[in-house]
Amino acid sequence: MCNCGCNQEPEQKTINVRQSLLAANKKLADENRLLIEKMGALAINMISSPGAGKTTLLEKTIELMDARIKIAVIEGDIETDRDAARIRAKGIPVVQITTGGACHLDANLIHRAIHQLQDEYRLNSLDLLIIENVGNLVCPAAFDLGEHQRIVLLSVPEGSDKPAKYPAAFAGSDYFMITKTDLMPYFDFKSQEAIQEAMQINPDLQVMELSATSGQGMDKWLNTIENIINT
Amino acid sequence: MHEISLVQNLVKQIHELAEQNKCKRIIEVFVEIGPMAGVVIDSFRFAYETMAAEDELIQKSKLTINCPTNGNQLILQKIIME
Repeated sequence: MCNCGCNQEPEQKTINVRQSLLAANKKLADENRLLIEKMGALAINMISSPGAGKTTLLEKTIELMDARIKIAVIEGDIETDRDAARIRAKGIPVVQITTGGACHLDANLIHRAIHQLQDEYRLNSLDLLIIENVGNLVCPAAFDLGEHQRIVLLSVPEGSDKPAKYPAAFAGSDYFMITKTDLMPYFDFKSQEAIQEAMQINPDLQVMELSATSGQGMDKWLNTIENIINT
Repeated sequence: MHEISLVQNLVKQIHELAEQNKCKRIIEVFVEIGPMAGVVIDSFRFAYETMAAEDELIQKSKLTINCPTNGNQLILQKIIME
């Protein structure tokens, strides 16, 4: 009802939108991608549940690759800067985002973090930016951060049924990495089942299996990084 | 849990569209959420109702959620406003 006293019904309008709910995030993500490319780098977004071994894999990756390529890291956590401290100890430019409760990173948080990296470390050139998302196999899947490649990690103790249970994380990723393979003898983890079910969700997934602790499978991962940054 | 941030984005989009079209009240909002979008429909609706309770523009609006059988789309389809 119109309340100006004219007794006329206000005009009803139907607005066709057909726009993604994540349109604003997508726009910023595209800007982030450009910003990262301008530095000469490509970005990887790492997604997994808490404790799948993202930070340990990062530490080993830095140890093995730091001499050859320039790496920077953005760490996402709900609380504490412990992960950033672990990366900082390796002498790598790192920015910690603490979301204070939010279960995922978004393109806006990454945008600020990239500027922070540039300001704090006077970083103008880079080969690889690794974004470690908040440990969560659900929410981060929906948010493009401006990465070029997305990796979903699943550790052996979590169980091989996770791809089927958390399909969105696998549907949106480029790589599927099974971690902590050194623990295979102690858990009932069926690699074939995990890979098969993940490939049913996303046939384009490239699969890797590794243990950052034993070093098994690390070669393939390092080659993959080389391939990513040389594309 | 990320349903809340998705709904915050939606409400922001609705406000922008209402302003562009010089409308004062939202009657109905149609969204499409695919099964692979990783969104819990009940949580999404709850987040919308919670935000609508404190937002004059959308307070009396109806939220219609269409759920296709496949896909990961997350789309604001149309809005009826006056």
